Amino acid sequence: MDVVANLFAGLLVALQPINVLYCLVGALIGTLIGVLPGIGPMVTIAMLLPITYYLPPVAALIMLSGIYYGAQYGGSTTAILVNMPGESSSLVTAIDGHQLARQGRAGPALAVAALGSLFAGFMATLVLAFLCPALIELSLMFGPAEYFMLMVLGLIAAIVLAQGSIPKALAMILLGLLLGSIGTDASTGDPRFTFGVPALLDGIGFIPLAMGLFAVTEVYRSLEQQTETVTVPGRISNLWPSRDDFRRSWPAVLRGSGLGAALGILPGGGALLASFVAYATEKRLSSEPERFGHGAMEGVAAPESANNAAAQTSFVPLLTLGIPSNPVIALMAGAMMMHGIQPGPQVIESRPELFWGLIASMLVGNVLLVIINLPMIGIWVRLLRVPYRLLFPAILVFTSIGVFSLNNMPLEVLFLALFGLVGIVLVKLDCEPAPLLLAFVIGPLMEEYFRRAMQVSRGNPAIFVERPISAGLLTVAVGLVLIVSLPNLRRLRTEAFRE
Amino acid sequence: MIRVRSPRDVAAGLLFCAVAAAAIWLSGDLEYGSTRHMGAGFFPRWIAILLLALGAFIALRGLAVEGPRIERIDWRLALPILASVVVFGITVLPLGLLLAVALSIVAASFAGRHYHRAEIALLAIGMALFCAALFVWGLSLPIDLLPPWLRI
Repeated sequence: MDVVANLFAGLLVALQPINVLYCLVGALIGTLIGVLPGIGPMVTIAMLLPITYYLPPVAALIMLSGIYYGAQYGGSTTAILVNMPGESSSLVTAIDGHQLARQGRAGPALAVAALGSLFAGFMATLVLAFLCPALIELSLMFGPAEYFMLMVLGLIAAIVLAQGSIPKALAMILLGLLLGSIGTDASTGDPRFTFGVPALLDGIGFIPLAMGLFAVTEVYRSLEQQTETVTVPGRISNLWPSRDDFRRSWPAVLRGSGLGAALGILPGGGALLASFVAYATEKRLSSEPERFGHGAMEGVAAPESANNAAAQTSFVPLLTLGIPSNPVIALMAGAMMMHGIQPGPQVIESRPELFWGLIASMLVGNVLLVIINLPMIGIWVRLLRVPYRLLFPAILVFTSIGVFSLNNMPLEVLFLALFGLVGIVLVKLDCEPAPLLLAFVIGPLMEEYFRRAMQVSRGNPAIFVERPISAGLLTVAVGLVLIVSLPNLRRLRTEAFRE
Repeated sequence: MIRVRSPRDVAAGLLFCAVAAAAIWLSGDLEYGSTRHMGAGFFPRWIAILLLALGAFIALRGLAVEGPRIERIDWRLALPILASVVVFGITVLPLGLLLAVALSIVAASFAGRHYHRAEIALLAIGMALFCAALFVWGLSLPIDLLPPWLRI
């Protein structure tokens, strides 16, 4: 089998000592920030992005992706032990996980979460390995019109599946597209919106924008809602789940992994959505739904498997079509571009060692994570004692250094502060910055495909409805907007997120 | 008198409208071209027009539908956070990394509470040394550690 051979070749790349090392570093950092509340994968990847410039590209991507799925492991630890999800994607895990901990069964709950994640990680890797080549095959049939529509659909789906007001998220997308058009226009060479400032000719830096909107804004948000210190639980004695736990968990793990893998591929999907849906599904399917909320092992197994699977499969749109489906993946796209690799269907041909190495590294990473997490759980728990007042100045300094080190330009650090302020204002107005960043990354590509589509059709916009695939994508996009605009369904969506 | 029912939405809508209007005005200098040969101004102009419409919709809806008030920005938190970044940006070239990190930490610490004074000093010194070790010695980033004018 071709895929198996490729996966094996990838495994050889992933098992090179330097790549294992960075995979371990990524997994460790991911677990660390997963445990620490107030700092998530988004902020961490943004902070480390400039540094990865100094690493070989394969090692850099392996490390960054390790942070993303590693954070899913770490997040569950605090959710179960202290009812404080380190990551938003572990929110639902806390419901039953913490109840189990209060019944003295924290050990088995942690073990089920870790083993479920391991299984999900393996399955998601296989999904990636088999699905990506097939999708790339399909993408060869795409012309500029299809690509443009695919991006429109991706942006729309990203906001429909996320929380919050839809008109505002749409506006944030348009704002991101506008910001992305600052700088020299790629095809005409005219400077746009540069106000004669030479530094703006290359456009706004992706890193200062991403770090301002996320890292700096997040520090403000965390300080504002800062709560009292946490009580750290005592020793965890027994880790091994009982036979009954196994019996209840394995179907939940299977379903969670499947749901997570599927939802992760969708644009806008990702770990958060997957964990919510997996929990709700388990509850609905269970013969004793009343056990949920009072320490049901399935309520830990399903969402933890789902968020890990989804974190991994959300790489599919990036690796096959070059379209990042959520902000974390947008940062990964930024990392690839920093190394001169344009994400898209050509990566598998031009850089097979990178493509398959990255996918195979997820197998390695998941094994490392279980080792890091289970025996060393005590160390991670102790980290909870690090108070945020010592953490946030360090986050700010790392962010500043990261931005500065890109081009040794102090001006970019000042831009970081500016975007931090913008982020704070936007958050106060209930405008989530995630869609903006996504649109900022996709914007220039989108314009380029639009322009090419117009050249193909000699300026006739009907091309988007005349070509069947493009028309189909457009229908889905319009359908999504209509569906969420209907009052009934809107209520359903709000409820789904409240649950 | 119009009653603002959802100040947060109205403010957001007006903000979007303002940005869009500025973009439409600025894109007037750019070549629009035609659908067949799009100029540099074509795409941003249309995006800005869409944004203007959407901003107006959000603002008008805010007049009709009840919504939350605008929470104030807590400047006692926001100012030190932003100052920490700005201080780093201004000082890193003239004063070098060690001092820039230490000053940036001190600036940030004004946003925190329950500090002991020694804690801030320790954090500033510790972070300065840690950053020097990690970024300059470990990753060999080309950043001066000490003020360049000390090195004659």
